[in-house]
Amino acid sequence: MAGDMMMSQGKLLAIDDLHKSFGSLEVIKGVSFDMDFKERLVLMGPSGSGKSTLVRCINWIEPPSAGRITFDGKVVEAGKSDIRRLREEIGMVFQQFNVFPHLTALQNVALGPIVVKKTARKAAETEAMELLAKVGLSHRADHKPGQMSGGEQQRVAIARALAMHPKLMLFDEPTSSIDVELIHEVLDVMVRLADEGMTMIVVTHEMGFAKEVADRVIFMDEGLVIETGSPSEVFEHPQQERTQSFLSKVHLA
Amino acid sequence: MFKWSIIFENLPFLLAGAWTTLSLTVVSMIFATLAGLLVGLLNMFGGKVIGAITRVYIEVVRGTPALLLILIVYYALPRAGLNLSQFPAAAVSLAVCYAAYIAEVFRAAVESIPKGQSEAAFSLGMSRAQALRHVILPQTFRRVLPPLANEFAALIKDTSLVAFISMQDLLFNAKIIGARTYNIMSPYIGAAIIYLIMTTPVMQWSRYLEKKVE
Amino acid sequence: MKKTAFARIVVLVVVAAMMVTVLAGCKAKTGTLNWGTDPTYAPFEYADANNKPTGFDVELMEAIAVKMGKTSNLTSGAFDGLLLALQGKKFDAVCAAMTITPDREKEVLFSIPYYRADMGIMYNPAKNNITKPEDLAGKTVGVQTGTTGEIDAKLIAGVKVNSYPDIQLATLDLENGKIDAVVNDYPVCTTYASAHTELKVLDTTSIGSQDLTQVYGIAMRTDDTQLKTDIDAALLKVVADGTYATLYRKYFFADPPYLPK
Repeated sequence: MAGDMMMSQGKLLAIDDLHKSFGSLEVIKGVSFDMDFKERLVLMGPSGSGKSTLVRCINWIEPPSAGRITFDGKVVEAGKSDIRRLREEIGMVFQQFNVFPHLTALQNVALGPIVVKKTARKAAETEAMELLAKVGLSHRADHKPGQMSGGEQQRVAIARALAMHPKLMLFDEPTSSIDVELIHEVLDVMVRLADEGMTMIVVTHEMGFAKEVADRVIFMDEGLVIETGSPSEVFEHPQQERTQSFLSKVHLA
Repeated sequence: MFKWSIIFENLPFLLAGAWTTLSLTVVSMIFATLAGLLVGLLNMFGGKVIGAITRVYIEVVRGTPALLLILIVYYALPRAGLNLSQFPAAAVSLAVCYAAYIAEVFRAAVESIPKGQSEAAFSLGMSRAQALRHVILPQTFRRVLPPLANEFAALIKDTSLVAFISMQDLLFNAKIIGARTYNIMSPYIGAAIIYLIMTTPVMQWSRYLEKKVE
Repeated sequence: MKKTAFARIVVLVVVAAMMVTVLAGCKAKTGTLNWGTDPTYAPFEYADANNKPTGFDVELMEAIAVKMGKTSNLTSGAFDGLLLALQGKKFDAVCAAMTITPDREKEVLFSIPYYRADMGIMYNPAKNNITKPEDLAGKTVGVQTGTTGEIDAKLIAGVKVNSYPDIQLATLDLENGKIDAVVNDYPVCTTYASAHTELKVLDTTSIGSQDLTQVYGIAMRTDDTQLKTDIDAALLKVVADGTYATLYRKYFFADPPYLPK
C-alpha cells in the first residue's frame, strides 16, 4: 500500500505485523516497528517475551510465520538466494558466541569473506587482522577459541560479523553468557561500534549500556511490543504497568 | 592339542591370507567411508525423496546379515551386466554393506555439532553446502574417527565371509591348514593372533585420537 | 595450506584403492580351464606341505586341461559357495568330490561320472561297535550341511543328525567323543582314519533298501553344453591313455573299480 511504502522509504528496516509460532505455541503475536540507518535500538523484556526470536527472524535464522520484513527498501522473500544475500548485509552476534572452534581467531574472522564474498585469502586475512586489532585481540590472532575467555570469544564473534561489512548488526544477549568481570570488554567494543555509526539492534539486560548507547528502547512482553521510547522515557517514565514491574525487578545502573 | 610349530611352519601361507584380508579391508574401508559420507549427507540434506531412499537403504542393509549382503551384491552384479572378479566384487560388496553403518556414524557426528555453529555460518551468508564444508564437517572429523575405527575392526572380521565367494582370506587359509594337518585349532589360533595384530594398532590409534579431541 | 594438502592425499588414496581393485581383477583368462574347489577334503582336494592345492580332483583336472590344450586355473573357496560362484561365472567348472544327485542336476550340468564312491561311517570302536548302519539308531552322527552324507545319514532310523558347516568340526567332535560317528564319503573317511588310527570306517553301500553308492561329476553351468562336450571328451582321453588309473592308484592304493565312460 502506498502509505506503507512511504513509511519504509529511507528506513533500513521495517517490520510489519510479524508473527512467529513454534508448532502451536505463538511466540511473536504481531510486532511492527521500523528502524532508520544508524539508529541504535535496544530490545528488552522478560524471558519468553519473544525478543530473541524477533531478532532471529530478521535475518531469517527463524523464518517468520506471518508478516512482512522490508530491508533496505526491499521486501524479503523466502527464496534461498535472497535470504543468503540478506544475511550478507546483516551481522549477528549470539549469546553462545558460536565461534568456530576448529579455526584460529584470524581464520574465524576471515572465513566469511573468503567463502561467501570470494575475497582472496591474503586480503581477507589482512582485513581480519585490522578487525581483531579493533576489538583488542591482535595478540590472539593465532589462538583457537578453546584457549580464550568468553569475553575474548565474543569479541572474535563481533569481528567475524563485521568482516562482512554488514549494514545492520544484531546482538542477541551478547553478554548473558560472559563472566561479570569480563562483560565490559564486549560492551566497550559495542559502544565504540555505535559511536562509529553502526546500525544495531541489541537484545540485552544491560541497562547501563542501553542508557549510554540506545536511541530507542523497545519493551516486549509475551510476544508483543508493550512500550517504546527513548531510554530516559522508558526507564524513568514508563507508561505501562508491565514495563514498570519489569524495571522494578532489574537494577538500574 | 595346540602346537606352535604348526603355526610357524605355515606362517607364509597364513600371512598370504592375512595380506588378502588386510588389503581387502583397507580398500573396502576407503570406499565404504566415502560412500557412507555421501549417503549420510544425502540422507540428512537431500530432501524428502532422496532422504527416504537413503533411509531405506540404511535400514535394510543394517538389518541384514553381512554374509547375505555380500552374496546378494556379488551375485546380483553379474545379472546387471557387471561381472567383477573376486577382489573388486568383494570390495564392492563389503563397501555397500558398511557404507550404511558409516552413514549413521556421520549422521550422529553432524547432529552432535551444536546448532549454533550452523546458525553462525548461515548468519554470515553461507549456503548449507558451504556451512557443511567449512564449519560442520571439519568439526565432525575428530568425532567420527573413533567409531570409524570400530567399523574397521568389524570390517576386518567380516572379510572372513569372502571365503563364500571363493577368496582365500586369512581364516580360509587357516582352515586349509587345519584340514591338511588334522590339527584344526592351532592354525585358527594362529589366525586369531594375526587378526589381533591387524586390529590393535587401529584401535590404539583411535583411542589416542579420542584423547586428542578433549 | 593444510586443507588442500589433505584433499590431495584423499584423492590419491581413492585412486590407489581403485587401481588396486581393478588390477587385482585383471587376470589373463584366455587359454585356461577355470574351475573351483574347496581344498579341505583329502584325498580329493587338499593342501600339500607347501599349502598348494593337490589331490585326486586337482590332478585329474590338470590332466583334463592338458587334453583340452589349456592350463588349469584353480580358485579355492568354501564348499557352500562353489555352485553359486559357478553360476556367477567366477569360474566355469567345479570339481569337488561332488555327488551327482537329481536335485543338483536341476541347477547344474554334470560331466560323465568320474568317480564312484561308497558312503563311509567313521566311528571309534572303543566307544561303539558299528557293523551296520542300523547300529546307529539312538546315536548321534555328524555330517556336513549340503552333502549327500547329510541326506544319507537321515535315512537311518532313530538316528540324531548334527549338521556342521564343515566336516572338520564334525571330526573334531568325534575325536572329543561328543558324537558317535561321522558320515561322509568313504575315501575321505579312510584318509582321515589313516591319520587317526583309533578310528575305523565302515564301508556302506546301502541303508535299508536305499542304495548309497554315489558317483561324482564335474559341475558346469546348465547352458554350457559345449564345455561339457569338451570336458567329457578330455576325461575319456585321460582314461584311455592310462593317466586316470595311475592317479587312482596314487591316491586310493588300488586299481580303479570303475572307469568313466
